[in-house]
Amino acid sequence: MRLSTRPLLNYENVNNFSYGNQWIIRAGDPNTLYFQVFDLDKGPANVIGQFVPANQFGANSSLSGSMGLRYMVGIGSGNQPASMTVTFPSIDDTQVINVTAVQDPNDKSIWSVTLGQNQKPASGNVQFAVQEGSSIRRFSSLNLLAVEDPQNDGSC
Amino acid sequence: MSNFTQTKKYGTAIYPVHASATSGLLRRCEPFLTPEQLVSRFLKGIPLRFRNGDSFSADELKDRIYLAMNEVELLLGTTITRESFQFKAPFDYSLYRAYIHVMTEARPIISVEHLAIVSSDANTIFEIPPTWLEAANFSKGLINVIPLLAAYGVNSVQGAVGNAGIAFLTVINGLNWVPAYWQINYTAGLSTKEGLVPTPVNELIGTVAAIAILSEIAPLNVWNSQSQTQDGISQSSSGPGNRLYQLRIEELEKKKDELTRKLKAIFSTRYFVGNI
Repeated sequence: MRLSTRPLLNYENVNNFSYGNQWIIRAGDPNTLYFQVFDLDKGPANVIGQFVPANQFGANSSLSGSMGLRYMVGIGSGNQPASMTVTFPSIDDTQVINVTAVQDPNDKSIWSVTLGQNQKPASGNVQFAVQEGSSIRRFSSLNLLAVEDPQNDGSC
Repeated sequence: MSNFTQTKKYGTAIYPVHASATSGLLRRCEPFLTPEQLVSRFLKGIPLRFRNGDSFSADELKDRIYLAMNEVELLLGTTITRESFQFKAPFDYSLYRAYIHVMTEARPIISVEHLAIVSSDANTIFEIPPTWLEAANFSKGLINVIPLLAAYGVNSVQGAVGNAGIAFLTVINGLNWVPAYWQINYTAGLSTKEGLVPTPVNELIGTVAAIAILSEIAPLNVWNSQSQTQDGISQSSSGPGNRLYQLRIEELEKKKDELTRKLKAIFSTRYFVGNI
């Protein structure tokens, strides 16, 4: 099992959202970031270079890494208690932001984290730690977050 | 993670070099390039599709950007994001006489955390007090040690300065060259603000990514010309074949070279003279 996430944009409820490539936020704004957990090793068969007859142009199936199958965290008694920590990394320990994610009660694959005005993460990868029972699965999502600086981006 | 409790900085921006304050009227730094920006800035009007129907997904464009960022780090000889380094520079008598002129491997330097004489069994023999470190040339990766503070009325220095260490400094007066002598812990990168990069660096990343993407698409455009004839009526067409996008690739290559040259000129010194 290789877990990953996909950011959800314009999230209203479990039936009303869109998938995105990354979160784009402004530092200092109050932000709630939604995401869905996927298992990259499951989902539709996806063999690299495989010919897909259904496609009249003979396109290969997506090679970008399967979207996977959504993963409901904490299902089954052996997977309880379940929790998730989201880390926005930094080279400076004092700048690392660790946030506990909140699971959606209606879809256990959907989680969210809320950033306060003083929590200003940096652009780039975001790290996740999913705890289910006694096991912890860690993964990093590539360039998941873009943070604009609305105050002064005239130098860096 | 690094220990930043004792840090020496110059206090200005990495880009524009030595900017002490900026108005905010002009944006010069931005988050890492996004797939949408890559298409909008570099691949507008170019169908990102192959003849068999394959296409680039947003995830694949993100992957190409990630590859390009790593290539740009190699091109510029530094890391894009602020990272922590530790290396040992040799003792060179002529450089020692020039106020311990030490050039770091990664540059520009954002901060120096530790500069000391460290033995090969990792014992710190003498730590240079941070107050002696001259930070004005950090943008070029140059660290100098100027212990002249007492001349300006500063009588005490902070740090691990001991009599044994100062005595050690006098011993090396007779030596010309000692390999792996000064140990330096420092951070280097192209931005003091994590997650923001200078716009020209993003432009270079996009240029490298666009070249790679166009180079993948173009060779599969295999036919130069096609003709069809039936009952004395014929029609033919010709095109660039696998040299499709060649002009665009060449222009991007030129831009890549130019941006690389200019960025390296900002953050490094071209000539360096030492004992060896």
